[in-house]
Amino acid sequence: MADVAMKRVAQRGPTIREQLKAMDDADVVTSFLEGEERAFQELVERYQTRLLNFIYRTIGDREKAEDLVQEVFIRVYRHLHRFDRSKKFSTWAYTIASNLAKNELRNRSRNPLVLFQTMKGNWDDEDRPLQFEDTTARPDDLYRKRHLRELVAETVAKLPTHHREVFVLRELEGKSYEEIAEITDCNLGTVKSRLNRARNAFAEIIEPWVD
Amino acid sequence: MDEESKAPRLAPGCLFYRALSRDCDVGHFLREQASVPRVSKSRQPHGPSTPTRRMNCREFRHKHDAYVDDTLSGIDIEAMGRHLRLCDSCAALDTRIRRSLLLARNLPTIEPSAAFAERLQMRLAHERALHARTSKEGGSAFGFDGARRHGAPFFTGAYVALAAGVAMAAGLMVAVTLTRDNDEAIRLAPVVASIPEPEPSPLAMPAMVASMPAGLSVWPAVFVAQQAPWRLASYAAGH
Repeated sequence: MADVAMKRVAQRGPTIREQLKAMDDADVVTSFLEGEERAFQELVERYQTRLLNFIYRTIGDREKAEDLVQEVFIRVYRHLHRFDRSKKFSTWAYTIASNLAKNELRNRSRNPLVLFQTMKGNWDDEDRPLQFEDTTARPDDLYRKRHLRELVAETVAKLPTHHREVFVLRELEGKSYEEIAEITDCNLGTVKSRLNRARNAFAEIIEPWVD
Repeated sequence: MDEESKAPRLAPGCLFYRALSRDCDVGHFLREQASVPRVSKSRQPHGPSTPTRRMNCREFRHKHDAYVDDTLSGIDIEAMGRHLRLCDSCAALDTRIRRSLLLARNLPTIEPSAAFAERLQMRLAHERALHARTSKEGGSAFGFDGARRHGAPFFTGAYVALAAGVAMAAGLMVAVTLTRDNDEAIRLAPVVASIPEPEPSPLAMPAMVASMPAGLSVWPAVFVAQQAPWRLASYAAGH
């Protein structure tokens, strides 16, 4: 009898996970609010990498970015019952992430020592993400490719904060203009103007290195 | 005769007038004009005609973001493409932006570290325990469990907090009303910045003056002694 119950539970676990995977964000949120705790894990799996990359590209510090992503999920967990379900969950999550990233940058600007340590840390090769290389390519190609990636990441980091945020959301996260406007709490015209300036500035900085 | 009337007048239909009115160099405009075959209205073929739009560099740059994002209408895309074929500087801009964006979009993504999931689960477990404890005590700090599980917007804790808030506000009002009567007593006289009246110098006491056998030579010294602090202050302010 117990074996049958265990089997049922074992069968039901993956089934619910599969069901959750097949749902869209709104249904997963509804499922969580109705008491299904595993739904929250599904949200974490869907958004952890995206939010980590967004925050990392915005603040430039990997460890701090992980801390902030954790904070995003804790806030989502605490306040999900207040989330307006007529809106997109992703926009809400990105808004929280954006606010936390902005706070972090503001705090850093008030504490120059932290800023210096972060910048110093970013120059350290050990802090860079481990990337597997294509061994079939020639060594000078590999070097050039890696150098170019580092250059692009540094160029993104060089953009002014407002421009960088919009640039990362559009070019790296693929958000629509309307979503970016909602996330950054700006009007559509401001988003377009910032994106235009960010694109031009980025192209201008990177151009001499590309040719 | 004003400056405008001195300038050579160009007819609105004139080629140069159109080139100058657009934000575009004349050479480019002429090349553009030359490349488009002119078809008179009488020679236009019958049937559905395809609308052709002329575009200048300013308009191209204004719409370039939408062009890169592929959100323009078909007519605009065609006009942008035609302008690109004719204008070298705009073609260079387009190539530069597209190449740089390609690089940015191909940046490698980073993955959360191995400890990330474990740390998050610990924090979430802590949150769950906190909510469970607060809900057992009859309410939640965030209104989480009550609202989430039962769909109710308010619960007992909220009413208690509301009542406490009202009581506190009433207390504050009473305190303010009572202290208003004593308001006049504690109000201080306004401070007006002015030069104070000089205090009578002890050197100029009548008894002392009377005691001086040679009063005439003493008076200038008395005046100097009286005005010494002001002179010192004005000297310091001047430097």
